[in-house]
Amino acid sequence: MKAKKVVAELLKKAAKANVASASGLSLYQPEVPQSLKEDK
Amino acid sequence: MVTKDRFELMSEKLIDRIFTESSDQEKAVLDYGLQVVLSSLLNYLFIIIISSLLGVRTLALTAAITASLIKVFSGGVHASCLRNCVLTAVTIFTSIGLISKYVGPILGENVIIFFWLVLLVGFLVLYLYAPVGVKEKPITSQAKRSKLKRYSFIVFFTFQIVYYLLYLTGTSASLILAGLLGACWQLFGITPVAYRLFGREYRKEVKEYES
Repeated sequence: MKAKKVVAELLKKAAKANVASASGLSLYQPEVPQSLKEDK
Repeated sequence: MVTKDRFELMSEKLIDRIFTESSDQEKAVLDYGLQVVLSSLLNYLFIIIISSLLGVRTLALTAAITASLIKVFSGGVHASCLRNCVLTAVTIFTSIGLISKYVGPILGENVIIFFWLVLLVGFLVLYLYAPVGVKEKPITSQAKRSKLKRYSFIVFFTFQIVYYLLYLTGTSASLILAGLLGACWQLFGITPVAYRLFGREYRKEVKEYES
């Protein structure tokens, strides 16, 4: 399904952008997944 | 064992249900992305609803956008769960909207004094503290710290230039005050005092990860 792939890509991009920045836009910060920690 | 709140469990279930064929590692990234997106949307949605009811939507959003964009690079204190995050954001930014609405007209052109004060204090605070991580996402690399500090300054000064230009063009003092107070809230959020106030670890974390 194409829509599912697009959503998955967007969520991955959001996740990576959040990890690359100091913080997200909100006051909430979930625990960073191990795979993204290793990315850096 | 780390306990998950309702929002985290809901996000996890949603990802599990939609992306059934993905690996566990991939699901963890998607879950993280979903939490990041949903928390930002919920924050702004509640700020818009409550501030609209009180007639200060533009002012509250000006403050929220200013604070959020500086926060992306400077980091700062976070709430312990999504509920507290939304409650804090709505309370702070709606209050800023209300304060700006009523104090702005009193200040009038004198808002420029507050502008210079924020510029000076902002420079000092960013120089001393930015960027600050949190326990859930510490900033470990020195190169990344330097880059984020540089970007924090750029974003902060860009906003200051915008507010100065708005002042020169005779824009309402309330709007400028809202933006400046939004910046102030964010600057406060990167100080150790804010971390103490929210009951979050500050010094220990920075020392631990900076060494």
